[in-house]
Amino acid sequence: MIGEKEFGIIRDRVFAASNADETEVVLGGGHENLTRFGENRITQNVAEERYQLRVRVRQGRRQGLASTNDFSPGSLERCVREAEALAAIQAESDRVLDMADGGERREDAAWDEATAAVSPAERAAWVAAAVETAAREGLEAGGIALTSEGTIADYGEIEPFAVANTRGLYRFAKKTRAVFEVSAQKGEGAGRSRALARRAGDIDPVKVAEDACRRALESREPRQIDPKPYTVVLEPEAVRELLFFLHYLGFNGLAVAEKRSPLFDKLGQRVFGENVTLREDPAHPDLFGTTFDGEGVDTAALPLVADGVLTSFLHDRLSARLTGQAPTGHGLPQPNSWGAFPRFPVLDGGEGDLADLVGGLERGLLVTRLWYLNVVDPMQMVVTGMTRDGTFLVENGQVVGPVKNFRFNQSLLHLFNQVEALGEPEALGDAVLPPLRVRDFRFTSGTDF
Amino acid sequence: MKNRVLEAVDTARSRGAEYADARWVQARAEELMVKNGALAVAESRETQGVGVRVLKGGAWGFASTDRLDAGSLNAAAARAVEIAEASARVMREPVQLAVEPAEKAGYTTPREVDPFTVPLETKLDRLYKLEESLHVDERIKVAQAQMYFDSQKILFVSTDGAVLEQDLMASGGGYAVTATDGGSIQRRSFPDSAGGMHLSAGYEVLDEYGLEPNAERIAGEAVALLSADPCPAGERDIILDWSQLALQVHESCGHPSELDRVLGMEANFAGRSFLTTEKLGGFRYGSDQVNIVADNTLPRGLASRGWDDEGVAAQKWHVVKDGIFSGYLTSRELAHVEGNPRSRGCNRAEGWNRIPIIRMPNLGLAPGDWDLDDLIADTEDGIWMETNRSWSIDQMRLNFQFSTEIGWEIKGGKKTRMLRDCNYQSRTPDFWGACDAVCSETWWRPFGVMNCGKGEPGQIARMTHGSAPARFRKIRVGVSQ
Repeated sequence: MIGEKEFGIIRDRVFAASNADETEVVLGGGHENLTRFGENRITQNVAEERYQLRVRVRQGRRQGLASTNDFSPGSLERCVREAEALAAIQAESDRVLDMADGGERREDAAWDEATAAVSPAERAAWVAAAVETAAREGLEAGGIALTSEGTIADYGEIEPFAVANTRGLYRFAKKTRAVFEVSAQKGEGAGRSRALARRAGDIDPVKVAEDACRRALESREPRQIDPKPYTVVLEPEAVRELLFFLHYLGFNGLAVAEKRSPLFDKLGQRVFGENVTLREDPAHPDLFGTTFDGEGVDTAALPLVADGVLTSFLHDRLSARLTGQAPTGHGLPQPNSWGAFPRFPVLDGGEGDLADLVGGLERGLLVTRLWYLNVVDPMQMVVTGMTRDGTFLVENGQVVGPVKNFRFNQSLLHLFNQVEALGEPEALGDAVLPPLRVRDFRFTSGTDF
Repeated sequence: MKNRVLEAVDTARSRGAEYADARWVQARAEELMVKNGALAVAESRETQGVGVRVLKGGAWGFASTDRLDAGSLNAAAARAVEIAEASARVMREPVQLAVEPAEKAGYTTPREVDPFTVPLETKLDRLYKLEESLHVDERIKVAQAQMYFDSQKILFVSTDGAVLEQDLMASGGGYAVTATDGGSIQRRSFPDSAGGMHLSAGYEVLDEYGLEPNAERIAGEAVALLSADPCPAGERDIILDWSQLALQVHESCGHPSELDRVLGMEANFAGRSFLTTEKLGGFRYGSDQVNIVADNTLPRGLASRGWDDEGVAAQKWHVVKDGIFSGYLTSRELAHVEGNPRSRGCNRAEGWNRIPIIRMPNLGLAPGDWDLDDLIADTEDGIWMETNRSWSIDQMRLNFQFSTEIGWEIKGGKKTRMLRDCNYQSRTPDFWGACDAVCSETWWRPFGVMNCGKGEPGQIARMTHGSAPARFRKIRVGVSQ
C-alpha cells in the first residue's frame, strides 16, 4: 500500500515538473480482495492492487487533468505535460476556480491493521460458515467476502485517499473495509443480509448467513396479490435505495445551480413531513470513511432537512460558488459533471423498532429491499424499481405471509410527506437509517416470483 | 514484457496450477466534455497492469498488479495460486475448461483515423461550436457536447500455449440538452443517450453521425417537449427506435441469456434469470419475427475482437431463432452446461485488474422485411418511442419498465402529435411475443451500450446492439401516471 512517504515523493515530483499557476495531485486506490460465492461454492476469488494518480493544473482560468498509475519520474513528467496541454488549448472560464486552501490534516481512525492483513483462507472460512448454514436448511447461498485497504469502491471506482495542492493543502487518510454479504435462496424464497465494517473482526459471518437464510425461508411460496397503493413498512436497506435518489435528484448542489432540482428555490421552506430530519454527520460513531472530498475540503456536518424544512444542499466548491453558498466538502475530484454526493447520511428516527412499525399496520406490506431503481420524472422525483428478497403481507399488525414482488412508481416528494412513523435508526455501515412506515406507496405491476 | 508475462504463467504452473493465463493490458482513454460554454471534462487517462488467473485443484484464483517488474508479476502469480487453494476449500466439482485451440496471432480494430493523433484543438473547437449551437432557447438550462476515445492493447498468454496480441479501439460522442420551465424537465440527446454513440473504430465515426446537422432540431425538441402532451395511459401498439431497441435487447435478452447468471453465480448482486436451462431449444421467447443474433465478428461492434479474455475466437450464433430460445452466452468453464464442446467466447474483463466473466457479445435484433414508412402507415393507433431515457427490470429479467426521451403519436398510419414522458411496461416473453414487425436491412443501425455493469467487484463492459425499428402490439404505456 502506498504510504505517506511514497505519496510525498510523487507529489514533489509532480509539483517540480509543473509550470502551471497551481497544481493538485489526488491519489486513490489500494488493495482489494474479494471472494465471491454462489450455489454454495466459491466461484471467483480475486485480489488487486491498483492506484490512480490524478494531476490537475490550473493556468489562469483554464485547467487540465491527466491521470496515470505509472509513478516513474518519466511518466509523472508526461502526465503533467498532458494536463498542461489540455489546459493550454481551452477557452477561459469563470467556472475554473483557484484551488482549495486548508492546511495539513491526516486521519487513520477508519484503518485497522488486522483487516488489511486478512488472508484468502480467512475469507474462505467466512464463506464456508455461510455455506454450511445455508446447506443445513437446504438453501443455496451466494455472496461476497471482501476486505480492502484503501479506497477502491464497489464498482471499481477509485476514490481519493490523498490530496495535495501547491497552495499548501494536504490530506492523507488510511482506511480499511470489510464486507460480508449473503443471499440465500430456495425456490422462490430469497433473503439477503449484509454487514459492512471498518474492522473485519466486527463481522459475524454466521449471523449474516442466518439472517439471510431466515428471510429466505420466510419468503417461500409467495402468493400473488394485486398491485396498487399500500401502506408499507420499509426496512432500512429499502430506505437507503430511495434516499440515494433523493440526494441525487434533490440535494446535489450542481443540480440546484442548474435548476434541475425540484428543491432549487425552496431553501427555508417546509418540503417534507415534520417528522423528517435528514443530516450529514461525519462524526457519527457508526459511520466511517474519509472526511474530506475530492478537492481536500473537509466534509461538514450539516442538516439538509430539519423537521421537514429544507435547510441546506450538498456542495462542492464550484456549485457553492454558482449558488452563493459555502462548500460542504461533498464534491468529487474536479473537474466533473456530476456535482456533490452524500458521504455520511443520517435520517433521524423514532423510538420503536421494526416490529412496532409492523404492529401499527392494519393492512399493508413489509418491504425488505428494493432493486434496480431509476428515475422516471426528475421534477416530481418519481422513481421506479422492484421489491426484492422478501416482501410480506401484513394484516392486523402481523406478518401473514410472503407475496410476489412488485414494481413501484413513487414520487419521493410525496413519500417523505407520507411518513406515518419512523423506527430506531440502524447502522448500515455507510448510512444510519430507520425503518419507515409510509402511506400509499404506489405499486403499479407485479412479476412472476 | 512478453517474457515477464510468460514467466508469471510458468511461476503459477511451478506452484502447482493445472492451468494459468496472464493478460498485460495497456489502456489509454481521452474524455472531453463542453458544458454550458465551459470545458467540464478534459481528461487523459492511462493505466497498465497484469492479471494472472490460475486453476489449482479445480478452483480459481486471480491476482493483479500494476507493478510490472518480474518480481511483482511472479508474486502476483504466487498470490493467485494461494487464492485458488483457498477457493478449493469451498467447491463442488472441479472446474473443467472446454478445449480451445491455442493460437499465436493478433487482431487490430480497423480504424481510419487514430483519435489520439487528432489535435486536441480540433476536437475542442468542434465541441465548443456544437455546444454553442444547442442554446436555441433560454429554457435550455444545460447543454453538453462530448467525445470519448480509448485504446486497449492486450497481450494474452496461457499454459495452453496461446499468445494473442490485440489492439482494440473505440470512438464516439454526442450531445444532450436539458430544458426546464420550472415545472417540467425534458432532455434530448443525439445520436444516443448516455454520452452519445460509440463504435469500435477511429475518429472517422464522428463524421458519420450527422452531429452538426441535427443539433438545432434536437435542442428544439427538448424545448417543445415542455409543452407537449403526456404519453397517454393504456394499451397501444408501439414502434421502438434503434436506441430503445438496443436497450430492450440488452436488458431483456442479453442479461437473461448469460449462463453464469442462470446458474446462480450472480444471484447476490444482479440476480438470476428466467431463462433456466430446461428452456434451451424449446422455450418460446418471442414471436416468429424475433431473431436475436450474437456476433462478435460484427464490423465496428463494441464487443468485436479476435478473441475473448480466455483466448476463445470471436463467433456468431442465434440466441433466439424464429422466436425460440436457442443459445446461451458462455465461457470455457460453463460451455458444457449447454452441451457445447466449445465456449461461445463471451468471457471478457474490464481491464488488467479484473477476472474475465461472461459478458454480452454484440447482440442484435435481426432485420425483418418491413419498410419503416410502410410500418408506420400500417399502424392505426400507436406511439413511436425514441431514444432511451431510463430503464428498470426485475432480478429474473421479466418485469421491465422503460422510458424514452420523446414519442410521437401515430393515428391512422401517420405520425401526429409529439408526446413527452413516454414509457411502457411489460413482461419479457409477453413483450417479444407481441412483436409483429421488424424493419428491413435498409433500416438496421448499430447502436450500443458503453456502460454495462456486472459482477463483484464491478466491471464495466461495452457491446453493440444493432436493430431496425420494430412494432409491438397492445403494450401497456403511460404506466407512471
